Amino acid sequence: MSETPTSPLPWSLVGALALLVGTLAGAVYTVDAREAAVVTMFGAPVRTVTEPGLYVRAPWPLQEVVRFDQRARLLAVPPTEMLTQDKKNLVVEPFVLWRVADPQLFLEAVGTPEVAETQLGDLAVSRIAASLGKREFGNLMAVQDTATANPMLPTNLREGVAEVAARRLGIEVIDLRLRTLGLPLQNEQSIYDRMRAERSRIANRYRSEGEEQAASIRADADRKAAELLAEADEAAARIESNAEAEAAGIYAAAFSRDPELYLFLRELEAFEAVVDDDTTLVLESDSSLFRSVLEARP
Amino acid sequence: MRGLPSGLKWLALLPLGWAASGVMLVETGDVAVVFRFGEVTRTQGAGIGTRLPWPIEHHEVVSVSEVRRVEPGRTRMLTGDTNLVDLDLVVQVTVSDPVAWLTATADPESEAAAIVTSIATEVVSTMDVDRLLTTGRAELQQRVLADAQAALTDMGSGARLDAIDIRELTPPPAVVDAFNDVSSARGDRETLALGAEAYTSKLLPEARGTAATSLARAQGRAAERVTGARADVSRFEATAQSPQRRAETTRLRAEALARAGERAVVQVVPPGTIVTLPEPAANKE
Repeated sequence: MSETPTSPLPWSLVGALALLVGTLAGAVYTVDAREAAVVTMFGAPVRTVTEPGLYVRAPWPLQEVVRFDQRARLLAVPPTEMLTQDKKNLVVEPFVLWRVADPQLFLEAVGTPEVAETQLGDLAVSRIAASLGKREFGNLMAVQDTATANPMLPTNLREGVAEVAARRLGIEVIDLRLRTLGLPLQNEQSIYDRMRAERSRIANRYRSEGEEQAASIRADADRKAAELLAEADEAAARIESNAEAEAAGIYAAAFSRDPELYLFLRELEAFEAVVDDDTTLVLESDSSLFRSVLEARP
Repeated sequence: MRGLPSGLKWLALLPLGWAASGVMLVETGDVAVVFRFGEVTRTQGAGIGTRLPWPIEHHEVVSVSEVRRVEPGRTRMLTGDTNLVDLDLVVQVTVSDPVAWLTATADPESEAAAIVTSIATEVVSTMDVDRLLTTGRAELQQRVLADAQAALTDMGSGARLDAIDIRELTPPPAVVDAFNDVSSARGDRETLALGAEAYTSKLLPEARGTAATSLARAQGRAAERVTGARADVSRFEATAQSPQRRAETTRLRAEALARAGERAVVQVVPPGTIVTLPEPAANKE
């Protein structure tokens, strides 16, 4: 035995081993946490794998593994024109957040995410169009309490789309919303015209309110000023008449003691008041008055 | 081993190198998510860690400290009173759950952007344009933040909305001048009112001044009147009680006549003359 020369390994054996190892390695596959897989035998699905890990299959060409990304994907549907019940045009831009839920059904029904998105987009658009077609524009767009407002898309619409997508496409619809809801470009001009008219009405109201306020403030000021002056005049008159009464009292008290002298002095005063520089005194030359006047002249 | 060719000695080092590939260095603010045969087994924060070498395990690094800025883009929206506004939001997203961030959604940032825009569309559709452009701005921002955060949490996307900023919320450029005119009209209203207030604050002190002056004058005249009366009375008393009362009255009389004579035109006629008086001037008071 020891005599036996170390013969080189038979190359055919090495080849066979390599083939075996390669085939066995090919029979082992992993499924990532982000993936779902379908094992097919001669093209027909035989097993679905949705849990990540290490798995074994029959080697190629018996079985193959088809993988799908199982993460949520965002499908942005292009803007689409729709009509409300009262025939108002709207442009809606829905989006669907979806993921592969049933990989085998998904593989059989659509095969690729691109095809799936086309179908899902059509489904969403037709359901949304039907839903909006049953609502009045004023029901959709209205000033209201945000917290209690009707959602733009009713919950049952989302559920309906989800149900059909799950049953027919093997897709889970996680969310379905309108990214935007607007008006067709050709309708914007009429909105602008109305916005302008509204703004100009508000601007005019502000300006006339300003004028009204200013006028009322001025009128108020004028009234207060007039009141102040009237009160002052009244007080002044009262003060003066009081003084007059006091003076009269002073005169009366004193003059009642010598009425004759009082009368004389009053007449003298009256006389002085009557005679001014326009007065002509016609005096007889023999009157005592004339003499008094003459004596006074220098 | 000794018999092996030297080149093959290096081959012996290969398993060592393979094992060493299992060392993970995770930087501050990052989290490493470790996958074993594709299944998430654990996460590791900043520091050094080990995992089994590839292809048994591998790891992916997610930054949980980075604030990701998401810009959904400027969007024209319909308000509840059917006006149009342009809204431009900036969303700040951070990773709240690295495993979900990696495995739940293909593009978490686009998803957040779409949800934020959608919720903003809904909120704007319930508010009127005047409120939106003034006091409603903060309300819009808070509501979108709260609702979008709730939606993202429901979906388990591993994203957290830190902030939503309204970068722009304006009327469309085609009508912006009309909105500006409203602001200037609001300014005009205030200016007009202020002008009237200024008028008031000039007029009233003036009126008070005039009133005070007229009162003071009245008081002056009153005092003068009473003082005059007292003076008259004391003169009267003096005359009345004077021993030469008769001489005094004669003097007064003569003085009054003399003053009258100085002022008036004196025409002396012979006794018994008949004098014809001229017509008095029409408007002579």
